[in-house]
Amino acid sequence: MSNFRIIPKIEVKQFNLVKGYKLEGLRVLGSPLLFIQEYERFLADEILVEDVMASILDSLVEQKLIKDIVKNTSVALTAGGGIKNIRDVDKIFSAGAERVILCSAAIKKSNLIRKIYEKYGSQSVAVKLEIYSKNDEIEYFTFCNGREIFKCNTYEWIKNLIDLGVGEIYVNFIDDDGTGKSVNAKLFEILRHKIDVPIIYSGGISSLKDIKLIENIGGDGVAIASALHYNLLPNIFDYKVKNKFFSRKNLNEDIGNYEWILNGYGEDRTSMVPILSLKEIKKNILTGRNQ
Amino acid sequence: MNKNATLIDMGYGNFPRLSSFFKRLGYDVTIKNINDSFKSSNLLVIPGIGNFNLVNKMNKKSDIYKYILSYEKHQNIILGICLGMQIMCRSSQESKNIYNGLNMFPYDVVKLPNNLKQRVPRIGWYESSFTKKSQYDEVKLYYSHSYYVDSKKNKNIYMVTKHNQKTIPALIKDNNIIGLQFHPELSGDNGADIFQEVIR
Repeated sequence: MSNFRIIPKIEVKQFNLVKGYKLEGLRVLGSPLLFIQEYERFLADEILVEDVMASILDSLVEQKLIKDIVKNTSVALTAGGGIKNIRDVDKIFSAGAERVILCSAAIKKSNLIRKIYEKYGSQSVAVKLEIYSKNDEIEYFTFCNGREIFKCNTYEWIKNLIDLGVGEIYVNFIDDDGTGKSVNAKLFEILRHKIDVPIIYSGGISSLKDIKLIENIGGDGVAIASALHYNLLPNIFDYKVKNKFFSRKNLNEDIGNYEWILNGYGEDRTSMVPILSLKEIKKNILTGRNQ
Repeated sequence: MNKNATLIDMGYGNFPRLSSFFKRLGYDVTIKNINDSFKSSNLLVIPGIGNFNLVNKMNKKSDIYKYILSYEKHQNIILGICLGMQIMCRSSQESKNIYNGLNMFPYDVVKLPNNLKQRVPRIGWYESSFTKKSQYDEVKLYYSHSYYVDSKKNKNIYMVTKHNQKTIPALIKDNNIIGLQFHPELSGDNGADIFQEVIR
């Protein structure tokens, strides 16, 4: 019996699904809802939506987007991006999300965690840790999607988050994010022993082997973006062409992104992200939700 | 004519997911504030958001509160989901064990034990099985909770699920009052099927 969760990670910038490389160079891949509906069809255990630019732009993840997703799907949704206070949290729950996720606020205003815990319960509040690691040790955390550095007594600080009432921790390895370069098993094992709430691995996952490794170490789930999105992309482009979703006449901005996805980016032009289909994962790995 | 379902809003905004769940099942859905005037509804839903202390905030003089507690008289269905079901019990560790629950189910709510194999909060899809004869064997349902209803074997426990080795109630039904520990609105087709079966 397994209750391991496969969680498609939907990073957005307002109403667009985006994906970066080590959190940089965000490219628009399309409409979040099209992707999420595909993931629901193939039995995603949950969905994570986070507006990765919201904290930088001092905005909040779009409630209209959350409402739209909630209206059209019935899979549990964790949402976040730019949350600063309990009013923001209320707005996200009102829009229909089941859980909120904090990153910057957990660092700058950790007391907000206590407030959410008291009002909604610990199962309703998750924190994302953006981890920069070196030699299998945590060098520092970042926030604002990798822009700001936060140094602290790592494990003491994590323990404090849990004492405040965090119900789930996403660990995001920023140097692997968007690369598909496999997972940091050693460090994850250390984290697993230090964290006694559910823990979700994110960053660099691109194979069944990666997922199995995380499950064997005792992770509660994985959040995957690039490998799943890029696998869907050709279908979604087809869909867009057939349904004339292109916003500009004859030419549209997404072609540039498509070219980037097919042929790489900057110095990492040769580094390819392996693709992975949710269907394949579900066929090979026993998760909470199976056919 | 459609049956109607009323969702109680305790000040946590609206419930898009629950509304659309019941609409899909053919209900006319109304959302009512606990203090709103209220007469009757085929189905009254106590949603599962917040914490157990919520019960202290329920206006005991309100129509809805009185209606809930007179469930034996009107015989319409009262459905508690997750925390909603826990509130229908006698007490909770989340609220210092004082007997402030609605006491419709004679059980106490306690914290799930945390261990290396199974962490708390208990989040995700878990096998759940009927204790009585049913067309379903085991189904996977979506849970998200830190407390559970502490009840040994009882004729009112219709479904159970496992937390590590511990068996905990997933569905309690006593005539017209029903409690679900799982979230039917987040459990795909299984959630709808089980709900339809149990209200029959």
